[in-house]
Amino acid sequence: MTTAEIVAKSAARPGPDLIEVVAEHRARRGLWTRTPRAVRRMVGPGVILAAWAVGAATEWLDPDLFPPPSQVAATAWRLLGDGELATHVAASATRVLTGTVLGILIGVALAVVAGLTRTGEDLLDWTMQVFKAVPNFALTPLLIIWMGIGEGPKIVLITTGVAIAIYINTYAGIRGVDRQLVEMAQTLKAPRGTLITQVILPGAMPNFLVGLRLGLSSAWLSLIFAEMINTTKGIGYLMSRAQTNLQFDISLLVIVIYAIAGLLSYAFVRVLERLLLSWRNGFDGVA
Amino acid sequence: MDPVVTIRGLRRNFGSQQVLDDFELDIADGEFVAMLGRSGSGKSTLLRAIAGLDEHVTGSVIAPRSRAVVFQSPRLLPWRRALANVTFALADGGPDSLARDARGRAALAEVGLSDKVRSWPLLLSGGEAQRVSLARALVREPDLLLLDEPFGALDALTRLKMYRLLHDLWSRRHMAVLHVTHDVDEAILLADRVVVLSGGRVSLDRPVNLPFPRSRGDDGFDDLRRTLLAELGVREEVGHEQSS
Repeated sequence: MTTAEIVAKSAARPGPDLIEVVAEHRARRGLWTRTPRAVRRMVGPGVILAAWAVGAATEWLDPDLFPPPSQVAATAWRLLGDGELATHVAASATRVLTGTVLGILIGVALAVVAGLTRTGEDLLDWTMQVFKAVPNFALTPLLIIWMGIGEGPKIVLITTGVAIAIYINTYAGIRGVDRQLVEMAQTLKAPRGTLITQVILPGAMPNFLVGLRLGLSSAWLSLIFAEMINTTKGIGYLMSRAQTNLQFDISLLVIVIYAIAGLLSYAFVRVLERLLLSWRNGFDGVA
Repeated sequence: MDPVVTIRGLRRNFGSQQVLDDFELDIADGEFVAMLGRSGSGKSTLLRAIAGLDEHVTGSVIAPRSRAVVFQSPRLLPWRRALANVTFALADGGPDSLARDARGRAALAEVGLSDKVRSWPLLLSGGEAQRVSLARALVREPDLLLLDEPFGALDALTRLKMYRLLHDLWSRRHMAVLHVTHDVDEAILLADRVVVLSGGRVSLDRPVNLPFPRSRGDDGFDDLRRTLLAELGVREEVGHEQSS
């Protein structure tokens, strides 16, 4: 008897109705579930882009104030050609990179001290909470008074945001390390250094990466405020100059650049996750 | 022969509950002692006290400096491979990782996992992970091996294999062993001496005079089992008498 016959027969007699379980699963897989994930993820941004293009074309968006994507792309090409875009993007990227690296170093160091020692926690945790509560840009005038209007305050603004995000998440990760593993290390008389580098920090790594993701988005946000402080280079400068000169295509271009920067940062952290957390997914490829 | 473990006047309470009450125990060098007790009787508390994991216990515990513990869960570092887990915190006279690795491989071979040297812990089966944990304990060549219900999380078939493995390892190295379990058969199969923990202290202490190779059908096995179950207050029969 085929499965279809068995199923059909069961409907006719008393007793429970039978179904073919495996076929039910396969039937649910439509076009959407069979599309690769990467393609599915592009649908959201794609819809936004399409809405923009349609809005500009139908003049639902005022073309003077809201140029279509094609015009913004042309502007980008022009600025790329005369090297302007490269200069500004490089300046901004350098600031973000410097601030992020410094922020990571400081954030991790503070998290380790606060996470591993009660004294450290008492000294640091509330202080860091204060820094978190105070909005970044409120510090700007203080920083200018202290460091002048050069690169200093810009880097400090970025660093602070990153350090706080890294600190909070890494600290939580350190405190959340499986106590059973720490006990195991204690029964084996593991020295303090081994305990920290082989048990606690790897255990805190997933949380650190969450902190990194948040820190990077905070870095780009801080950049906006940082580049309001007397700049002649950087995408923030590009934006404020464009607004002064009513060049809306450049304004939109800068917004697109921010969006791309955010996505690239996110993708970067995902790559790090795959490399550093491969043991979680059971990949056997990375030593 | 002087005992390697001497416990006197051990007391530990959790709030109002006195879990260990003037507990006393001696373990001789090379002796395999199984400790039975009902859930909550304090067996794990005792083992943790001997392992040095309990700060709040009072009394006197004299034990070898070189101790190793096998817990109920394998407690492997998921971010290091099996070999690195076995050699974790293994001090081998300087950063000579080749010698350390060689000892680690030998330990894994002893537990029958030579082909899992480079496996990630999360990909190992329960029995394999527990065997890695056993290798990690043994590679240090401890004078006292502490086991806290080590096979509790394993299926019955794997457990039988682990009994044979543990017995072989012990008969080769002959360190003192304290094996905490709730399984009466396991205790009788493995130990030189069975101790029942009840009311915070030792309530029964019997030698197991059955020759190896041992199995459940042996003469004297049932008697000892019944004695121990009675001491633990557990009935073995299932169901009621059928009234006709």
